[in-house]
Amino acid sequence: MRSFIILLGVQARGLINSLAPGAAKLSRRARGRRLALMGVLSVLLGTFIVAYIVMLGLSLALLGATEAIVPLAVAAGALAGAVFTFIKARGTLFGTRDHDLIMAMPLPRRTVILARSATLFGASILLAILIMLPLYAVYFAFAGATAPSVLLALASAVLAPLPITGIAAFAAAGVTALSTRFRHANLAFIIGAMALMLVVLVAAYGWSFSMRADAGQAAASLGDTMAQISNTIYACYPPAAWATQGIVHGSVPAYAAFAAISIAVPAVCIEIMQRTYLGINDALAARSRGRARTRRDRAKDRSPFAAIVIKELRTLVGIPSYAFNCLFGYLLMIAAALAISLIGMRGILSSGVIDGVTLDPAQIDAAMGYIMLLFPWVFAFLATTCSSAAVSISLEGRSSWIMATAPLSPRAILGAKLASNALPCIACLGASAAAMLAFGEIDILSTCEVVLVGFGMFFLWVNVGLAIDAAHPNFSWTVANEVVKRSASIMVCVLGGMVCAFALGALSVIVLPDLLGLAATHGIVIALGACSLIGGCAIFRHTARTTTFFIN
Amino acid sequence: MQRSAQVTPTHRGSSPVLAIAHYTKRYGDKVAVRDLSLTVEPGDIYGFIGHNGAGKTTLIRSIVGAQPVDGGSIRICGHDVVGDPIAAKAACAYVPDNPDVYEFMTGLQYLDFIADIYRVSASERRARRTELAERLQLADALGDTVGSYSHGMRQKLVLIGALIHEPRLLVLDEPFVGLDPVASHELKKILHELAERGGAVFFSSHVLEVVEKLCNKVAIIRAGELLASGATEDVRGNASLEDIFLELVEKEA
Repeated sequence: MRSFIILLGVQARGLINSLAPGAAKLSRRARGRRLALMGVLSVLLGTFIVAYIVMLGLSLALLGATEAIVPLAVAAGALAGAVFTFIKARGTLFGTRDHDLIMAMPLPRRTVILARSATLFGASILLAILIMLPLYAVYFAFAGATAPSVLLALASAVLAPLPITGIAAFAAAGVTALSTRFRHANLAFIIGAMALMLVVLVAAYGWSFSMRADAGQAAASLGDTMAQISNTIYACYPPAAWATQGIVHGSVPAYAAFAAISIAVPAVCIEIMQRTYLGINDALAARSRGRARTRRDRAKDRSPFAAIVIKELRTLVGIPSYAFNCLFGYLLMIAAALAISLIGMRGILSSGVIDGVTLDPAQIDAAMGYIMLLFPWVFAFLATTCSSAAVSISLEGRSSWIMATAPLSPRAILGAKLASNALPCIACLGASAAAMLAFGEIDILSTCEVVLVGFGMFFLWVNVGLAIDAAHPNFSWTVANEVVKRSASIMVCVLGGMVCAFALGALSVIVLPDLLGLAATHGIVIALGACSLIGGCAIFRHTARTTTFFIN
Repeated sequence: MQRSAQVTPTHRGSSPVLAIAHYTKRYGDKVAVRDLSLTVEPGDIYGFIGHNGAGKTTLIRSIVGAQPVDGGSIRICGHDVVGDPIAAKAACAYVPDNPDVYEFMTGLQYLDFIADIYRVSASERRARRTELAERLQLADALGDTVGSYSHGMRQKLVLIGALIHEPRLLVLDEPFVGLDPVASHELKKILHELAERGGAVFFSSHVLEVVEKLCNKVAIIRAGELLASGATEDVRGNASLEDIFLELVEKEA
């Protein structure tokens, strides 16, 4: 236990340190201020989530679906940390820089795995608490509370996320182990994991749409619909039913079964992982040995620009957490375009899956005019999430001396980094727009808008991110996540892109058509795309002029 | 205090490969290196010695353009590292004290990347890479990812990368740390060959015996100030370099 607490302390200090990147040289006071600011921002974000969840719970309760709140809370709490854990587990458990040091210590391997995965379980529990407790509060406010039911509800917030988090970590370990059989293990891991996440996403939306469609058709009463939702949750995730039985009806055996499975599943997962831990790490470290292609030479040399573009793409594939963060937007772009192309917006609108509303052909025609104006902003938002260039300077890390001593201008280096991001982005936007055009879902004008607005917004915000990263690079990271997940550059880029896409999208779809008409609105949308592009160019020129590559 | 009497630059009828004049570097209020001047001629193997924190790496980083200069000037083959950094960097190669390179690349990919950056033709890079990899016994590992390399293997890889464009000036920070005896011996031969071809080598080291045997010139730095510089025989006189180093450092302290 003592060893576990010591290792946990190291993990906690690492987390705190990563919350104030680049602050290591600051005074204790300045560092404290930085951490306090991060704390305040986290509390604000938490408050926002809680407020949203309370409103959702209140809506259900006011619609008379109080009974559905508990299973919904348990299911949501259980799933809350699944994706997070799946993405983070590999970087947290395998291939860490301190692997040899920790494994050489006289500590049981099980303790090491428990301490390492504690951050994953801790994050999942925190998310579950944020989601479940507000829902329980609403439930108890409407259904009444007893001391045992409140206690069981509180305990369920800790227990509910454990099995799915354990399974997600185990799945990540499985995909990691499988990927080591391939020469390009990282690429295999990224493809496998993203495919799995896409399947989960499609299944979730498919289930959500089918529920709404059935509800729209059956719609006998709201109570029937809520009963159907509860029953589906029970069928898909029986522990939710057991927890509900315990909290709502006071069934001790049912709750005991819920508690037992919540503890047993992660325990089994951790046991299997600790037994295979050394093998997987060993396979990851040695995956390239014995398969050397030393003698294979390239036929011709590349320009420095092309060499850096290819190096940046290799970085993306070489750091899975970086790839997850920056490639998922491309995947969503293609998935959205294929969904729209194959299902068809007219089909979606006439099916009643959107809030159970069924439109007639005339209404659909009218709606399509507005939807065409929405498409560019949807793709613009997705494009701004693909901002790999926004952290590309910090990701040079301890190898930053290579770029600092390369006989190239900052413009050439920054331009190549930007190109490595911009080329796949415009290719995905182009392919998505072409697919929708080919299936007749959008016209030529909308095709141009999707590409221009999508790329313009991407280019504007990725250049803002690049400028921030160039001005304040963080080369002292120990885990790539510190840069990819918690850097100001990528946060500003994604949040700025999101706010801009939502605000300008709302302006283009809700305000401008009624004020100026559809044709003029299309003109303004194109102008906004062009302005974003020009703005991005101006920011890049300024960044290239003011940046010097030095080692920190 | 500089032992200027012992400085005897070797003029060989050509401009210096490295000329440092009144170089100063500060970190905040602290002066890391103060008013340092020295010259490295073609054919020189120049050793730069000093205790930990004396300012060796600070100067080296400024020479290779990886750190700004606060005062004075540094010229490589006549190109100012601040005013004309690209030309200066193109004539130079750097081997840092920690050979950190992109772990996701294979050794071969890294060398190709460096050759592309320095615009080395495919045939030239192939010839130099093959020769150097054979000499440093890294040929069999070039297809492996750098992440699987030991410290010494990374050091060898960075050395090959530094030599692949035949630099006029090779700057090395503690180059012998982590190298096995065979590679260390081979590196000394490689440095001699580079100097014989008209290039120059400037390196820092704590191993005074190596500096004494390898270098024709030496500079001693303490707390950011140059204590002595010039031909190795002139600096050490009849004593060993170690004795002179200890004497100078203790006297100045």
